Amino acid sequence: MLSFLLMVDSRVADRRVGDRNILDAFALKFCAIAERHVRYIVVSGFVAISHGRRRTTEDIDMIIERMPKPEFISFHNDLIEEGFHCMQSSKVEDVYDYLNNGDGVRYTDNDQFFPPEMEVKFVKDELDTLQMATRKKLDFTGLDIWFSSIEFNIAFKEELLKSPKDMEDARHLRIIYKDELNESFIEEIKTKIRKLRLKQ
Amino acid sequence: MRDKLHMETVEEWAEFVRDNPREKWKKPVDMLINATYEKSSDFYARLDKTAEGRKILARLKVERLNSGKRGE
Repeated sequence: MLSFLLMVDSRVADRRVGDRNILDAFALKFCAIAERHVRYIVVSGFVAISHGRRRTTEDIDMIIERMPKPEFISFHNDLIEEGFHCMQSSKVEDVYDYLNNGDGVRYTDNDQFFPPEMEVKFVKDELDTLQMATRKKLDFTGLDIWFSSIEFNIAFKEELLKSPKDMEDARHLRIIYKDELNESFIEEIKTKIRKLRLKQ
Repeated sequence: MRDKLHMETVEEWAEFVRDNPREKWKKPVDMLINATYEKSSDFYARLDKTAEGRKILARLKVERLNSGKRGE
């Protein structure tokens, strides 16, 4: 089994950077470009995975602050120059319209649109604004990436997403950060989720 | 719904990650992720070699674009 796992073809090997796995390398490259243009956070599954959760994902979720079209065009063009491709459209104006309409736009690092992909969304409400304001770099991950706080990720997974995978992600993070979590902040976030995301 | 044993396995692994140095848990996680991408990359590349496969890839792309409509 070990020898099988170590037999990687050149396409996969090309997507690694040093001792980083493919997801880490993809996220680091994308986030380094984002950092030059906009405040961002990485949220959800990749947060758990970068804390050692034993699973993978096809997409990494990123929230960015709203930005005027000219600034977004500069960001998008930088991504394209660095080898990323947008799945929705090659026209940057269309991509910006998707974002402005509240949709996520997806970027891959290959023109065949094979995973992994980064799904990018604009901040949409006060919950996202608070996530952005309380963003953190998490030493445990060893990654130079801005993440939403562990409390936010746990609250979203336990209160909103709730799939078995999400509940396991939350449990994993609760164990990693045992005795360090701000439970009252988690409850505060859950209250906001019920008010802003679960209202009928 | 996954069974209790599955969650127990998740918890045991999380405790191992918390209680051991990074080099002990990072390598197996990296191997899992890289191997998964290796297999999927091979699969997509095989599909891309035929007209029928390219149709499937196009459908998969549409499904991926339509997925992830979550409230988060």
